[in-house]
Amino acid sequence: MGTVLLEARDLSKSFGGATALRGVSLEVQSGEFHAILGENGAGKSTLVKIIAGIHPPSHGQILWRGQELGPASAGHLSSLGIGTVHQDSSILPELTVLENFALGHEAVAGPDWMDWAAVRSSLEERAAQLGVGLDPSAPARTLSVGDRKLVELLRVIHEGQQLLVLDEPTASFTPEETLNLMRILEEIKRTGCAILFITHRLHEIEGIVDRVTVLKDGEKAGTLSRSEATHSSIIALMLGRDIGEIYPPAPSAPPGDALLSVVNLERRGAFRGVNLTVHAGEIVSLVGLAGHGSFEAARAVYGVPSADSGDMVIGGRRLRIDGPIAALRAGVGFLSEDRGVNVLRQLSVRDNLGLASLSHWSRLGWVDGRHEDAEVRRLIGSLSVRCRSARDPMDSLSGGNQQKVALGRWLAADTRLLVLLDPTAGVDVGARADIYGLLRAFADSGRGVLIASSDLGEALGLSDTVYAFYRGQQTGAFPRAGRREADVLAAMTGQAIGSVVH
Amino acid sequence: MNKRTVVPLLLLLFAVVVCTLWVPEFGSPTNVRNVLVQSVPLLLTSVGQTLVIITAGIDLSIGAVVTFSVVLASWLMQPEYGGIWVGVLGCVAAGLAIGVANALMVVRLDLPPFLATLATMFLLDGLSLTLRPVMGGSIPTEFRSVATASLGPAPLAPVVTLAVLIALAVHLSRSRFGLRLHAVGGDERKARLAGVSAGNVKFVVYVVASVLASIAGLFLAARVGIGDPNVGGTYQFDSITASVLGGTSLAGGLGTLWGAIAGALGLQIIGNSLNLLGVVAYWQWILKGSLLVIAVAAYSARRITWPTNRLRGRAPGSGLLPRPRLRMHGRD
Repeated sequence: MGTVLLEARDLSKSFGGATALRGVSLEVQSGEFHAILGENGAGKSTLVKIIAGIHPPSHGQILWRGQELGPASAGHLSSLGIGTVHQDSSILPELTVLENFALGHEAVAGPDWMDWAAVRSSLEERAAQLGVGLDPSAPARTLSVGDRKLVELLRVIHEGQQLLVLDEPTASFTPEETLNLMRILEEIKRTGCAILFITHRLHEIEGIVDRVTVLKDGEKAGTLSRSEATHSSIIALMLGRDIGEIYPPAPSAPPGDALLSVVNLERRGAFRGVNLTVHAGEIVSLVGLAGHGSFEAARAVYGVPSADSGDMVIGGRRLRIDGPIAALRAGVGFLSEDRGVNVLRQLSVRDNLGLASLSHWSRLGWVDGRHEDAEVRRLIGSLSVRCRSARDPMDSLSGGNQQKVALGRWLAADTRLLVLLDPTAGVDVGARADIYGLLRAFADSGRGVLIASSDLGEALGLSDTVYAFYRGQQTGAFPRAGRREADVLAAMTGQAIGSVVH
Repeated sequence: MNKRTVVPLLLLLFAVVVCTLWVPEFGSPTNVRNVLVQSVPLLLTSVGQTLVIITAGIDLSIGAVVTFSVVLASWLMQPEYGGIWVGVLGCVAAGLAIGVANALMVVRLDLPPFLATLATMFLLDGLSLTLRPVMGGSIPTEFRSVATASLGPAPLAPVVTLAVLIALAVHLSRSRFGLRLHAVGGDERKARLAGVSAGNVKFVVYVVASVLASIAGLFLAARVGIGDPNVGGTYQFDSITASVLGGTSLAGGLGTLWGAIAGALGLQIIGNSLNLLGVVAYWQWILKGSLLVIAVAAYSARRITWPTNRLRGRAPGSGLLPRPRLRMHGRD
């Protein structure tokens, strides 16, 4: 390891009254792969935004090669050799790959007249160096999440790159996409560029990381060298406690009557001949590769979009679910895999919790404020939502807490069946364990949960029954007893286990 | 060339062919000349409006700037107040100042463009009526020749206007500014993250829109020859209509100046033909409204899909078996 490139000294940052970062100091040495780990809301993104010059720190300073780095523009940082890929995608879907690459790329463009040939060759050169294959003229909206991130990465790196900052780049990546990114980062590291990598998944950085800094509740919990950074030492730092088993134990009572029976359900081009049952007291997961029908079938139960044919029996009645309103009447609640659409971000925690239940809390069209307050307080407590007040806007909550509120809305309403798509994607360990516990308690009270999951570990650990999907068809039902991961995998890959990992 | 460039140009061509074949007198040299001369202010205002709309904004003061420019010219161009050049420079300077004011409100104060420019509209309309409560003043004959001058067989003003606007359209499709403009309109937050100064881009479009509107006002002054405090109003919504007919999305990010030019010419041609056919103005409005609905519905047809369908967002041709998306090792 060489000299200290970037030094953060005693950084603090508050937004309004909330302190996001408290006295964090950090050193990044030249050429090292430095990971920052922490749960959601631990202050990781705030730290990155201060380093990237987006937020000025409330207190403390940033030094670059020993010189204080004042408020800096992206262009200035880029000229120093610092590039940042933010957590939120900056890829504009309506522009092409090439146009996205060219954005903010003054170096290769003429005064105002773009030299597209030069931009294109620069893109192709960088892509070739890192072994990335992308069609420059493809519209960005046709790219996968992973490829979009790569375009952002290609945009910020250039000759003489000193430091690359990546804020949770892998948050919605597939395993192959993550592996591919790690391979590319190793390539970049080989050129002597230091990498500051923010994540909340330990396993993905295991082979490559030099040092790990763990943040917890806005403070630095510690920095570990490669040899000290074991799974358990990091988790202990992240949580300040042992996680133990994050999945709740299987219910002792046998499941009750069928809450949802689906017979021969079909939506053309998505799935066909789907049969499945969710009993009262049961958590059921649908697993399958993207586009193979598991998510689409779960969506059909809520009618977004609805199935073309087949029968759906909910609570003993044959129903036609042609949209959310019919589903709501049948007592079905739904959370999308896109966390942004599950909550109304401008509204308060209280309003979000009440959305589906206000009619129960009202008399003659007027909301009974005291009743609402009591219910909201009870829900915040039972969901262990971390917020200062029920009047806080959703925006001020971390991702995991937003998801708890979204879930809480359905728990407050008369929901008999919850349909959830990837309910814990991008949610940290602590909040995940809380959510699993909530779902288990929900099911144990005689209701049902149907999850479409792209996390096989979660599906296996949490659910009483797992249905596998392959090419739009349901290819296996696996009750908890005697369930083996290999069998589920075989069913969801059409027996060809080897084809899963490319 | 995308759909939003090609379709308006084809529609313009279609309108020209249909009107030439079926509208008596439409193709006569006098009428062609008339249509072209009449379309100058609409072309200028529509291009300005389109630039603003591409950034997901709107400029409701464009019509008021046109009027103000006409009224101001009717004072400044009189010999005792300064003459032609003082009038020209004064109007353009006023356009510039108004554009800067709009831009400051939108960029610095972060006011919604709708409200900021609505306020400007009221302010300018009041100012115009204060300066000229009734029609009055006069535009010097020398300046009025701007509207009638010819370049060979063609009218000078429309030729120059089209040449400049086409150059602008070409520039926009190839320049860094054009790229940034579409980025900011597509998603301002993402554009900022990508290192684009969204404020600068928005600043430029409001200033350009106002300056173009003040030039449109100067041209109108030359054409009508008198300070008319109501002359510019129609350009407010006609500029938006032409922009939308030309394929610009009010949601921002989508649209081209080619479309704006085609939309403005098309709107002018349709209006002219309906006049020639003797259709009364009220019916023309009804037709304009219907046309607008059809255009918007046609351009946005592709967008009616479920926004979070996982099958979308994949490369075409990946077919039945998209890349696996399952996390194999859990996430801890």
